[in-house]
Amino acid sequence: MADRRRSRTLLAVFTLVALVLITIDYRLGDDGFTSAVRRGAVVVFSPVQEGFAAVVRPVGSFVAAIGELGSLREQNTALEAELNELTEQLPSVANLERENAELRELLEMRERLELTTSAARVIGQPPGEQGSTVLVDTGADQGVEVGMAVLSARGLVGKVTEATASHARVELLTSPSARYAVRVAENAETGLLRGQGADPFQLELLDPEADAEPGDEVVTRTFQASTIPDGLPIGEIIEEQGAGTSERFLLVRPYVDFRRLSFVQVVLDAPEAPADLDPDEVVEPEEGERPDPPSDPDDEDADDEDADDEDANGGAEDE
Amino acid sequence: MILRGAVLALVLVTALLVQTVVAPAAAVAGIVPDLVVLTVLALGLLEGPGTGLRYGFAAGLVVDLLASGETILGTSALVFLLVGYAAGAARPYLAANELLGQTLASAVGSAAVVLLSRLLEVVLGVDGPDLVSLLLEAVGAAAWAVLLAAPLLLLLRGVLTSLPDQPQAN
Repeated sequence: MADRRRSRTLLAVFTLVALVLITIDYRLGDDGFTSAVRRGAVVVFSPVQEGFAAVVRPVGSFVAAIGELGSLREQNTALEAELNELTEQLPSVANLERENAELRELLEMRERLELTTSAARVIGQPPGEQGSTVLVDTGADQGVEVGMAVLSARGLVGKVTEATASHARVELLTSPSARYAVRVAENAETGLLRGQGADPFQLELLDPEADAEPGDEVVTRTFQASTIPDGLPIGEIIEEQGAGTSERFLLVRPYVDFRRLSFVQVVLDAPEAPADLDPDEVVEPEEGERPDPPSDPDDEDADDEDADDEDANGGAEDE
Repeated sequence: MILRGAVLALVLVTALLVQTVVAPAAAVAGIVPDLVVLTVLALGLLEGPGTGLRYGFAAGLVVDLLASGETILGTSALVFLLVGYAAGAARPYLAANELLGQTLASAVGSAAVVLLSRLLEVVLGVDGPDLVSLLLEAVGAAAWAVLLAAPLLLLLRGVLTSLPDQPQAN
Protein backbone atom coordinates (compact mmCIF):
# COMPACT_ATOMS: atom_id res chain seq x y z
CA MET A 1 0.00 0.00 0.00
CA ALA A 2 2.85 2.33 0.95
CA ASP A 3 4.64 1.46 -2.29
CA ARG A 4 1.56 2.26 -4.31
CA ARG A 5 1.22 5.63 -2.57
CA ARG A 6 4.90 6.32 -3.17
CA SER A 7 4.51 5.49 -6.87
CA ARG A 8 1.58 7.86 -7.18
CA THR A 9 3.52 10.62 -5.47
CA LEU A 10 6.42 10.01 -7.85
CA LEU A 11 4.01 10.06 -10.78
CA ALA A 12 2.66 13.43 -9.70
CA VAL A 13 6.13 14.89 -9.14
CA PHE A 14 7.62 13.68 -12.45
CA THR A 15 4.50 14.72 -14.38
CA LEU A 16 4.78 18.18 -12.86
CA VAL A 17 8.48 18.39 -13.76
CA ALA A 18 7.74 17.31 -17.34
CA LEU A 19 4.96 19.89 -17.66
CA VAL A 20 7.25 22.62 -16.32
CA LEU A 21 9.92 21.63 -18.88
CA ILE A 22 7.35 21.68 -21.69
CA THR A 23 6.12 25.11 -20.62
CA ILE A 24 9.64 26.55 -20.40
CA ASP A 25 10.75 25.16 -23.76
CA TYR A 26 7.48 26.17 -25.44
CA ARG A 27 7.76 29.75 -24.17
CA LEU A 28 11.50 30.21 -24.77
CA GLY A 29 11.55 28.60 -28.23
CA ASP A 30 14.84 28.28 -30.10
CA ASP A 31 16.54 31.12 -28.23
CA GLY A 32 16.18 29.70 -24.74
CA PHE A 33 18.71 27.88 -22.60
CA THR A 34 17.03 24.61 -23.55
CA SER A 35 18.62 24.90 -27.00
CA ALA A 36 22.03 25.22 -25.38
CA VAL A 37 21.27 22.17 -23.23
CA ARG A 38 20.26 20.24 -26.37
CA ARG A 39 23.50 21.19 -28.13
CA GLY A 40 25.41 20.09 -25.02
CA ALA A 41 23.61 16.74 -25.08
CA VAL A 42 24.53 16.26 -28.75
CA VAL A 43 28.18 17.16 -27.99
CA VAL A 44 28.28 14.58 -25.20
CA PHE A 45 26.30 11.83 -26.91
CA SER A 46 27.68 12.09 -30.46
CA PRO A 47 31.16 10.67 -29.75
CA VAL A 48 29.60 7.76 -27.83
CA GLN A 49 27.21 7.22 -30.72
CA GLU A 50 30.08 7.45 -33.21
CA GLY A 51 32.13 4.84 -31.33
CA PHE A 52 29.14 2.56 -31.03
CA ALA A 53 28.34 3.02 -34.72
CA ALA A 54 31.88 2.04 -35.69
CA VAL A 55 31.52 -1.18 -33.69
CA VAL A 56 28.02 -2.20 -34.78
CA ARG A 57 27.94 -0.88 -38.37
CA PRO A 58 28.14 -4.44 -39.78
CA VAL A 59 25.13 -5.34 -37.58
CA GLY A 60 23.24 -2.35 -38.97
CA SER A 61 24.01 -3.47 -42.52
CA PHE A 62 22.83 -6.96 -41.65
CA VAL A 63 19.59 -5.64 -40.14
CA ALA A 64 19.02 -3.46 -43.20
CA ALA A 65 19.52 -6.49 -45.43
CA ILE A 66 16.86 -8.41 -43.46
CA GLY A 67 14.44 -5.50 -43.86
CA GLU A 68 14.92 -5.60 -47.60
CA LEU A 69 14.52 -9.33 -48.11
CA GLY A 70 11.60 -8.85 -50.46
CA SER A 71 13.36 -6.55 -52.87
CA LEU A 72 16.60 -8.51 -52.52
CA ARG A 73 14.81 -11.57 -53.79
CA GLU A 74 13.69 -9.66 -56.87
CA GLN A 75 17.22 -8.47 -57.52
CA ASN A 76 18.69 -11.87 -56.90
CA THR A 77 18.76 -13.00 -60.51
CA ALA A 78 20.37 -9.83 -61.76
CA LEU A 79 22.99 -9.97 -59.01
CA GLU A 80 24.02 -13.57 -59.55
CA ALA A 81 26.50 -12.75 -62.28
CA GLU A 82 28.06 -10.02 -60.19
CA LEU A 83 28.13 -12.33 -57.19
CA ASN A 84 30.18 -14.89 -59.10
CA GLU A 85 32.87 -12.29 -59.68
CA LEU A 86 32.87 -11.26 -56.04
CA THR A 87 33.12 -14.75 -54.56
CA GLU A 88 36.85 -14.77 -55.22
CA GLN A 89 37.32 -11.62 -53.19
CA LEU A 90 37.36 -11.17 -49.43
CA PRO A 91 34.20 -9.58 -47.91
CA SER A 92 36.29 -6.77 -46.43
CA VAL A 93 37.65 -5.95 -49.89
CA ALA A 94 34.14 -5.89 -51.28
CA ASN A 95 33.07 -3.53 -48.53
CA LEU A 96 36.05 -1.25 -49.17
CA GLU A 97 35.28 -1.24 -52.87
CA ARG A 98 31.68 -0.29 -52.21
CA GLU A 99 32.79 2.59 -49.97
CA ASN A 100 35.38 3.58 -52.54
CA ALA A 101 32.80 3.66 -55.33
CA GLU A 102 30.42 5.66 -53.17
CA LEU A 103 33.10 8.22 -52.31
CA ARG A 104 34.19 8.40 -55.95
CA GLU A 105 30.62 9.15 -56.99
CA LEU A 106 30.46 11.85 -54.34
CA LEU A 107 33.67 13.40 -55.65
CA GLU A 108 32.39 13.30 -59.21
CA MET A 109 29.18 15.02 -58.13
CA ARG A 110 31.20 17.72 -56.34
CA GLU A 111 33.47 18.31 -59.33
CA ARG A 112 30.55 18.39 -61.72
CA LEU A 113 28.80 21.03 -59.64
CA GLU A 114 32.05 22.91 -58.86
CA LEU A 115 31.29 23.07 -55.15
CA THR A 116 33.48 23.10 -52.08
CA THR A 117 32.25 20.46 -49.70
CA SER A 118 33.06 18.72 -46.46
CA ALA A 119 32.70 14.95 -46.59
CA ALA A 120 30.99 13.28 -43.65
CA ARG A 121 29.97 9.87 -42.45
CA VAL A 122 26.41 9.37 -41.25
CA ILE A 123 26.57 8.29 -37.60
CA GLY A 124 22.96 7.59 -36.78
CA GLN A 125 19.48 8.85 -36.34
CA PRO A 126 18.24 10.61 -33.19
CA PRO A 127 15.66 8.54 -31.30
CA GLY A 128 12.00 9.17 -32.07
CA GLU A 129 12.73 10.99 -35.31
CA GLN A 130 11.39 8.28 -37.68
CA GLY A 131 13.72 9.12 -40.57
CA SER A 132 13.51 12.90 -40.34
CA THR A 133 17.08 13.73 -39.35
CA VAL A 134 20.53 12.15 -39.15
CA LEU A 135 23.73 13.05 -37.33
CA VAL A 136 26.95 13.38 -39.34
CA ASP A 137 30.56 13.55 -38.18
CA THR A 138 31.45 16.97 -39.54
CA GLY A 139 30.74 20.26 -37.83
CA ALA A 140 31.56 23.92 -37.33
CA ASP A 141 35.32 23.18 -37.14
CA GLN A 142 35.14 22.06 -40.77
CA GLY A 143 33.17 25.17 -41.75
CA VAL A 144 29.70 23.66 -41.52
CA GLU A 145 26.89 26.10 -40.77
CA VAL A 146 23.13 25.88 -40.30
CA GLY A 147 21.24 25.96 -43.60
CA MET A 148 23.97 24.37 -45.73
CA ALA A 149 22.88 21.80 -48.30
CA VAL A 150 23.84 18.16 -47.85
CA LEU A 151 24.39 15.90 -50.87
CA SER A 152 24.89 12.26 -51.59
CA ALA A 153 26.22 10.90 -54.85
CA ARG A 154 22.65 10.76 -56.20
CA GLY A 155 21.41 14.19 -55.23
CA LEU A 156 20.14 16.40 -52.45
CA VAL A 157 19.81 14.73 -49.05
CA GLY A 158 18.69 17.69 -46.92
CA LYS A 159 20.16 20.63 -45.06
CA VAL A 160 22.02 21.28 -41.83
CA THR A 161 19.73 22.38 -39.00
CA GLU A 162 22.20 22.30 -36.13
CA ALA A 163 25.98 22.21 -35.87
CA THR A 164 28.37 21.60 -32.99
CA ALA A 165 32.15 21.81 -33.30
CA SER A 166 32.51 18.30 -34.65
CA HIS A 167 29.02 17.11 -35.56
CA ALA A 168 25.96 18.34 -37.37
CA ARG A 169 22.30 17.43 -37.52
CA VAL A 170 20.83 17.15 -41.02
CA GLU A 171 17.12 17.46 -41.67
CA LEU A 172 16.36 15.01 -44.47
CA LEU A 173 14.15 15.77 -47.45
CA THR A 174 11.86 13.06 -46.11
CA SER A 175 11.03 15.09 -42.99
CA PRO A 176 7.35 16.12 -42.94
CA SER A 177 8.49 19.67 -42.10
CA ALA A 178 10.90 19.88 -45.09
CA ARG A 179 9.86 22.40 -47.76
CA TYR A 180 11.97 23.08 -50.84
CA ALA A 181 11.53 25.29 -53.87
CA VAL A 182 12.05 23.11 -56.93
CA ARG A 183 11.49 23.05 -60.64
CA VAL A 184 10.76 20.40 -63.23
CA ALA A 185 13.97 20.00 -65.22
CA GLU A 186 12.21 19.34 -68.54
CA ASN A 187 10.09 22.50 -68.69
CA ALA A 188 11.28 24.71 -65.78
CA GLU A 189 7.85 24.71 -64.12
CA THR A 190 8.35 25.73 -60.51
CA GLY A 191 6.77 24.32 -57.40
CA LEU A 192 7.01 23.47 -53.73
CA LEU A 193 8.24 20.05 -52.63
CA ARG A 194 7.18 18.57 -49.29
CA GLY A 195 8.65 15.59 -47.43
CA GLN A 196 6.24 12.82 -46.42
CA GLY A 197 8.34 10.40 -44.39
CA ALA A 198 8.73 7.08 -46.17
CA ASP A 199 6.16 8.03 -48.81
CA PRO A 200 7.16 9.75 -52.08
CA PHE A 201 7.59 13.53 -51.90
CA GLN A 202 4.60 15.69 -52.68
CA LEU A 203 5.14 18.35 -55.36
CA GLU A 204 2.69 21.19 -55.79
CA LEU A 205 3.29 23.18 -58.96
CA LEU A 206 2.68 26.90 -58.71
CA ASP A 207 0.75 26.77 -61.96
CA PRO A 208 -1.89 24.06 -61.33
CA GLU A 209 -2.31 23.51 -65.06
CA ALA A 210 1.38 23.25 -65.86
CA ASP A 211 2.64 20.28 -67.86
CA ALA A 212 4.51 17.68 -65.86
CA GLU A 213 4.53 13.98 -66.57
CA PRO A 214 5.70 10.83 -64.88
CA GLY A 215 9.38 10.41 -65.64
CA ASP A 216 10.16 14.14 -65.51
CA GLU A 217 13.10 15.05 -63.29
CA VAL A 218 12.73 17.40 -60.31
CA VAL A 219 15.71 19.57 -59.32
CA THR A 220 16.36 22.27 -56.73
CA ARG A 221 15.65 25.88 -57.48
CA THR A 222 17.52 28.69 -55.80
CA PHE A 223 15.22 31.20 -54.22
CA GLN A 224 15.38 34.10 -51.78
CA ALA A 225 18.33 33.85 -49.34
CA SER A 226 18.70 30.17 -50.13
CA THR A 227 21.95 28.30 -49.57
CA ILE A 228 20.76 25.29 -51.57
CA PRO A 229 22.62 25.22 -54.91
CA ASP A 230 20.50 25.42 -58.04
CA GLY A 231 19.84 22.35 -60.19
CA LEU A 232 20.61 19.59 -57.71
CA PRO A 233 18.75 16.42 -58.64
CA ILE A 234 16.02 15.35 -56.21
CA GLY A 235 13.94 12.69 -57.91
CA GLU A 236 11.50 11.92 -60.67
CA ILE A 237 7.76 12.33 -60.96
CA ILE A 238 5.98 9.01 -60.69
CA GLU A 239 2.31 9.89 -60.36
CA GLU A 240 -0.18 12.71 -60.70
CA GLN A 241 -3.03 13.05 -58.22
CA GLY A 242 -6.08 15.31 -58.24
CA ALA A 243 -5.65 16.17 -61.93
CA GLY A 244 -7.94 18.95 -63.09
CA THR A 245 -8.71 20.11 -59.55
CA SER A 246 -7.26 22.91 -57.47
CA GLU A 247 -5.66 20.27 -55.24
CA ARG A 248 -3.56 18.73 -57.98
CA PHE A 249 -0.15 17.49 -56.88
CA LEU A 250 2.53 15.17 -58.13
CA LEU A 251 4.32 12.38 -56.32
CA VAL A 252 8.10 12.39 -56.64
CA ARG A 253 10.28 9.34 -56.01
CA PRO A 254 13.66 10.42 -54.58
CA TYR A 255 16.91 9.41 -56.24
CA VAL A 256 18.57 9.11 -52.83
CA ASP A 257 18.01 5.95 -50.81
CA PHE A 258 17.54 7.56 -47.39
CA ARG A 259 17.73 4.21 -45.60
CA ARG A 260 21.20 3.54 -46.88
CA LEU A 261 22.99 6.81 -46.29
CA SER A 262 26.56 6.22 -45.22
CA PHE A 263 28.58 9.09 -46.73
CA VAL A 264 27.37 12.59 -47.55
CA GLN A 265 28.89 15.96 -48.43
CA VAL A 266 28.01 19.30 -46.87
CA VAL A 267 28.18 22.13 -49.42
CA LEU A 268 30.32 24.86 -47.86
CA ASP A 269 30.35 27.49 -50.59
CA ALA A 270 26.94 27.54 -52.25
CA PRO A 271 26.32 31.04 -53.62
CA GLU A 272 23.64 32.65 -51.47
CA ALA A 273 20.75 34.10 -53.43
CA PRO A 274 19.93 37.65 -52.31
CA ALA A 275 16.78 38.07 -50.26
CA ASP A 276 16.07 41.34 -52.06
CA LEU A 277 17.62 43.66 -54.62
CA ASP A 278 20.58 45.71 -53.42
CA PRO A 279 19.30 49.34 -53.44
CA ASP A 280 22.81 50.60 -54.33
CA GLU A 281 22.83 48.54 -57.51
CA VAL A 282 19.35 49.41 -58.73
CA VAL A 283 19.58 51.30 -62.03
CA GLU A 284 17.12 54.20 -62.26
CA PRO A 285 15.75 54.88 -65.79
CA GLU A 286 16.65 58.28 -67.17
CA GLU A 287 13.93 60.93 -67.62
CA GLY A 288 11.90 60.48 -70.80
CA GLU A 289 13.21 56.98 -71.44
CA ARG A 290 10.52 55.00 -69.68
CA PRO A 291 9.42 52.00 -71.77
CA ASP A 292 5.88 51.87 -73.12
CA PRO A 293 3.45 49.87 -71.02
CA PRO A 294 2.69 46.43 -72.41
CA SER A 295 -0.37 46.27 -74.62
CA ASP A 296 -0.49 42.52 -75.29
CA PRO A 297 -3.03 40.88 -72.96
CA ASP A 298 -0.92 37.68 -72.97
CA ASP A 299 1.97 39.60 -71.45
CA GLU A 300 -0.28 40.89 -68.70
CA ASP A 301 -1.24 37.29 -67.85
CA ALA A 302 2.41 36.39 -67.69
CA ASP A 303 3.06 39.24 -65.26
CA ASP A 304 0.22 38.04 -63.04
CA GLU A 305 1.69 34.54 -63.02
CA ASP A 306 5.04 35.93 -61.91
CA ALA A 307 3.35 37.74 -59.05
CA ASP A 308 1.57 34.53 -57.99
CA ASP A 309 4.89 32.75 -58.14
CA GLU A 310 6.45 35.22 -55.69
CA ASP A 311 3.51 34.91 -53.25
CA ALA A 312 3.51 31.15 -53.25
CA ASN A 313 7.21 30.89 -52.51
CA GLY A 314 7.34 33.64 -49.95
CA GLY A 315 6.25 31.22 -47.24
CA ALA A 316 8.66 28.49 -48.23
CA GLU A 317 10.96 27.64 -45.38
CA ASP A 318 14.18 27.38 -47.31
CA GLU A 319 13.97 29.16 -50.49
CA MET B 1 20.33 -0.96 -4.96
CA ILE B 2 23.00 1.28 -6.52
CA LEU B 3 24.25 -1.58 -8.67
CA ARG B 4 20.69 -2.28 -9.80
CA GLY B 5 20.15 1.38 -10.73
CA ALA B 6 23.46 1.51 -12.60
CA VAL B 7 22.67 -1.66 -14.56
CA LEU B 8 19.22 -0.38 -15.50
CA ALA B 9 20.73 2.95 -16.58
CA LEU B 10 23.24 1.05 -18.70
CA VAL B 11 20.39 -0.94 -20.23
CA LEU B 12 18.65 2.31 -21.19
CA VAL B 13 21.80 3.86 -22.66
CA THR B 14 22.39 0.68 -24.69
CA ALA B 15 18.80 0.81 -25.91
CA LEU B 16 19.32 4.46 -26.95
CA LEU B 17 22.52 3.64 -28.84
CA VAL B 18 20.95 0.67 -30.63
CA GLN B 19 17.92 2.84 -31.38
CA THR B 20 19.98 5.60 -32.97
CA VAL B 21 22.52 3.48 -34.83
CA VAL B 22 21.02 0.09 -35.72
CA ALA B 23 17.22 0.45 -35.57
CA PRO B 24 16.89 2.96 -38.46
CA ALA B 25 18.26 0.31 -40.81
CA ALA B 26 15.39 -1.99 -39.86
CA ALA B 27 12.65 0.45 -40.87
CA VAL B 28 9.70 -1.15 -42.63
CA ALA B 29 7.54 1.29 -44.62
CA GLY B 30 9.37 4.06 -42.80
CA ILE B 31 8.44 2.76 -39.36
CA VAL B 32 11.40 2.19 -37.06
CA PRO B 33 11.11 -0.10 -34.02
CA ASP B 34 11.24 2.03 -30.88
CA LEU B 35 13.55 0.07 -28.59
CA VAL B 36 13.67 2.83 -25.98
CA VAL B 37 9.91 2.71 -25.50
CA LEU B 38 9.98 -1.10 -25.45
CA THR B 39 12.70 -1.04 -22.80
CA VAL B 40 10.73 1.41 -20.65
CA LEU B 41 7.62 -0.74 -21.00
CA ALA B 42 9.61 -3.88 -20.16
CA LEU B 43 11.05 -2.24 -17.05
CA GLY B 44 7.58 -1.21 -15.94
CA LEU B 45 6.16 -4.67 -16.61
CA LEU B 46 9.00 -6.45 -14.81
CA GLU B 47 9.75 -4.06 -11.96
CA GLY B 48 6.53 -2.17 -11.29
CA PRO B 49 5.08 1.31 -11.82
CA GLY B 50 7.72 3.19 -9.77
CA THR B 51 10.61 1.85 -11.86
CA GLY B 52 8.59 2.25 -15.06
CA LEU B 53 7.89 5.92 -14.50
CA ARG B 54 11.39 6.79 -13.19
CA TYR B 55 13.20 5.22 -16.12
CA GLY B 56 10.48 6.35 -18.50
CA PHE B 57 11.04 9.95 -17.44
CA ALA B 58 14.84 9.64 -17.73
CA ALA B 59 14.70 7.93 -21.13
CA GLY B 60 12.14 10.39 -22.46
CA LEU B 61 14.22 13.34 -21.31
CA VAL B 62 17.30 12.02 -23.12
CA VAL B 63 15.22 11.37 -26.25
CA ASP B 64 13.94 14.97 -26.09
CA LEU B 65 17.46 16.33 -25.65
CA LEU B 66 18.79 14.37 -28.62
CA ALA B 67 15.83 15.14 -30.87
CA SER B 68 15.78 18.07 -33.29
CA GLY B 69 14.84 21.56 -32.10
CA GLU B 70 11.26 21.15 -33.29
CA THR B 71 10.58 18.63 -30.53
CA ILE B 72 9.51 20.35 -27.36
CA LEU B 73 11.62 19.35 -24.38
CA GLY B 74 9.63 17.28 -21.89
CA THR B 75 7.05 15.82 -24.27
CA SER B 76 8.68 12.40 -24.61
CA ALA B 77 9.56 12.49 -20.90
CA LEU B 78 5.88 12.99 -20.04
CA VAL B 79 4.61 10.33 -22.46
CA PHE B 80 7.24 7.74 -21.51
CA LEU B 81 6.72 8.17 -17.78
CA LEU B 82 2.96 7.76 -18.20
CA VAL B 83 3.25 4.55 -20.23
CA GLY B 84 6.01 3.26 -17.92
CA TYR B 85 3.73 3.79 -14.94
CA ALA B 86 0.74 2.28 -16.74
CA ALA B 87 2.76 -0.80 -17.72
CA GLY B 88 3.80 -1.28 -14.11
CA ALA B 89 0.25 -0.76 -12.86
CA ALA B 90 -1.02 -3.38 -15.34
CA ARG B 91 1.44 -6.01 -14.10
CA PRO B 92 -0.84 -7.70 -11.53
CA TYR B 93 -3.51 -8.23 -14.18
CA LEU B 94 -1.12 -10.03 -16.54
CA ALA B 95 -0.03 -12.74 -14.11
CA ALA B 96 -2.24 -15.49 -15.59
CA ASN B 97 -0.36 -15.66 -18.90
CA GLU B 98 2.63 -13.54 -18.15
CA LEU B 99 4.74 -13.41 -21.32
CA LEU B 100 1.80 -13.22 -23.71
CA GLY B 101 0.13 -10.59 -21.56
CA GLN B 102 3.32 -8.56 -21.32
CA THR B 103 3.84 -8.76 -25.07
CA LEU B 104 0.32 -7.52 -25.74
CA ALA B 105 0.75 -4.80 -23.12
CA SER B 106 3.96 -3.72 -24.89
CA ALA B 107 2.09 -3.53 -28.20
CA VAL B 108 -0.67 -1.42 -26.67
CA GLY B 109 1.91 0.74 -24.88
CA SER B 110 3.94 1.32 -28.07
CA ALA B 111 0.84 2.38 -29.99
CA ALA B 112 -0.19 4.58 -27.05
CA VAL B 113 3.18 6.36 -27.15
CA VAL B 114 2.67 7.25 -30.83
CA LEU B 115 -0.88 8.51 -30.24
CA LEU B 116 -0.11 10.38 -26.99
CA SER B 117 2.93 12.06 -28.54
CA ARG B 118 0.83 13.27 -31.45
CA LEU B 119 -1.92 14.43 -29.11
CA LEU B 120 0.63 16.52 -27.21
CA GLU B 121 1.95 17.93 -30.49
CA VAL B 122 -1.57 18.94 -31.50
CA VAL B 123 -2.09 20.64 -28.13
CA LEU B 124 1.21 22.48 -28.56
CA GLY B 125 0.48 23.44 -32.16
CA VAL B 126 3.26 21.38 -33.75
CA ASP B 127 2.76 20.16 -37.33
CA GLY B 128 2.63 16.41 -37.73
CA PRO B 129 1.39 13.55 -39.89
CA ASP B 130 -2.26 13.21 -40.97
CA LEU B 131 -4.64 10.84 -39.19
CA VAL B 132 -4.12 7.91 -41.59
CA SER B 133 -0.31 8.13 -41.37
CA LEU B 134 -0.58 8.43 -37.60
CA LEU B 135 -2.76 5.33 -37.29
CA LEU B 136 -0.41 3.41 -39.59
CA GLU B 137 2.51 4.50 -37.42
CA ALA B 138 0.69 3.35 -34.27
CA VAL B 139 -0.15 -0.03 -35.84
CA GLY B 140 3.46 -0.34 -37.06
CA ALA B 141 4.79 0.41 -33.58
CA ALA B 142 2.47 -2.22 -32.10
CA ALA B 143 3.58 -4.77 -34.71
CA TRP B 144 7.23 -4.12 -33.92
CA ALA B 145 6.41 -4.53 -30.22
CA VAL B 146 4.78 -7.91 -30.84
CA LEU B 147 7.96 -9.03 -32.62
CA LEU B 148 10.52 -7.64 -30.20
CA ALA B 149 8.88 -7.46 -26.77
CA ALA B 150 9.14 -11.14 -25.83
CA PRO B 151 12.90 -11.50 -26.50
CA LEU B 152 13.56 -8.15 -24.84
CA LEU B 153 11.48 -9.12 -21.78
CA LEU B 154 13.27 -12.46 -21.47
CA LEU B 155 16.66 -10.77 -21.83
CA LEU B 156 15.84 -8.11 -19.25
CA ARG B 157 14.33 -10.67 -16.87
CA GLY B 158 17.58 -12.61 -17.08
CA VAL B 159 19.61 -9.49 -16.33
CA LEU B 160 17.38 -8.43 -13.43
CA THR B 161 17.25 -11.84 -11.74
CA SER B 162 21.05 -12.03 -11.83
CA LEU B 163 21.30 -8.80 -9.84
CA PRO B 164 21.71 -9.11 -6.05
CA ASP B 165 18.86 -7.02 -4.57
CA GLN B 166 15.39 -7.45 -6.01
CA PRO B 167 12.99 -4.60 -5.17
CA GLN B 168 9.52 -5.17 -3.84
CA ALA B 169 6.69 -4.54 -6.24
CA ASN B 170 6.31 -0.77 -6.20
